[in-house]
Amino acid sequence: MKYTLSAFSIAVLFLFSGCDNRLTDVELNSNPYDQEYAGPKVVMIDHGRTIIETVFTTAHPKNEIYVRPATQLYHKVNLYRNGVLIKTSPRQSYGAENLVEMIRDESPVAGVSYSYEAALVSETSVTAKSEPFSYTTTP
Amino acid sequence: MKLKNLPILLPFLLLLLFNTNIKAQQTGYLHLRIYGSKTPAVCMLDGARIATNDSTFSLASGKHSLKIWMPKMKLIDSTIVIPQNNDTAKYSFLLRFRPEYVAYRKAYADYTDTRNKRFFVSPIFMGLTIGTGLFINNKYGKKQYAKMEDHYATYNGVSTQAEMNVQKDEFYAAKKKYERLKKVEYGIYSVAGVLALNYVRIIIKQRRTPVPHYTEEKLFSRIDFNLYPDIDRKALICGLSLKF
Repeated sequence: MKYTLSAFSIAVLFLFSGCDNRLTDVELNSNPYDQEYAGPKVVMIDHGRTIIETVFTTAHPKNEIYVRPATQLYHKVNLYRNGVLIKTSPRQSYGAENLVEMIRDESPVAGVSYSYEAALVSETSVTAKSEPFSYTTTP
Repeated sequence: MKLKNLPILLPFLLLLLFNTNIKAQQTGYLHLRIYGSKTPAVCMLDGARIATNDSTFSLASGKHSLKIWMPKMKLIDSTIVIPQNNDTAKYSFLLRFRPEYVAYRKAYADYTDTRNKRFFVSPIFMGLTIGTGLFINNKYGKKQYAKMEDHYATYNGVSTQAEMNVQKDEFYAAKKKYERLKKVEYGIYSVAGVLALNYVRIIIKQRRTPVPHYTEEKLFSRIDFNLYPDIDRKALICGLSLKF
């Protein structure tokens, strides 16, 4: 009788551990460059670091925008101001985690509010834009 | 007859009386042998118990009642005739088992066989099915799963839509095969489960095999209780009958 129960337990054990299910429910839409990408935004304006307004001696203010990519798969970062691409910055951060890219808006007008967006760029594709972040340049 | 003739007649009278006594005390011998029983059987001669097993008895000539019995054996109820003139009558009896006891021994042998029987078919098939499931999983299932992992990793490492589409197609093809194999594997394990349950059922059934019992024949066991309706008299008749 005990051999029977042992055999039955082993059968049940195999039944529940025989197959690997980690990838069975996975849909391939996790690549941020995919047209069918359905994951979270992989690039965001870093709200933790406030956009820094810098005033140079030439009296031209500059806004520094910090972008946090959620993937390693990029070469450049695009910066959009009011939906228009104003700058493409090469990748500067290569850490395994906590990637942060800083892009500088060289020509903001003081007292004007802008909506900034960012996107990651690979050799052939561009990801979706980040959530827009509004900022009024300090006079 | 005159008394003066008595001396002459007395020897004849005595002879006549003597002859009569001789006739009344005619004896013979019984040589009794009983086969079929290692232990001495219960042997009743004219209602009195006697020793048995290759014995010789001196008995009065004539018919005698002889009953021989042993537990589990059929009763021998016989009449023997003892000869005159000290001759020996040889009687042999073979004790036989009662049919009920023979049937009981057969039933008990069947019971012992059933209880001691070992069932190998179910465990062997259980092992085969589980082994087949493991073989499918290791030989084919893991291969397809490794393919899925490769295509998943490659998909996440490319950025052109064409490359991603190729990896997607390959991934879903491997996933389809893998899920099909998984269903087959689960089916096989289900068969193993059914076999295991069936094996448990067989073992329980074996453990619950009723033990046969033998009851010695008694007077009451010969009595049958009869109950039947008498339609003409509109009565229910109840009676007892004794089997002979």
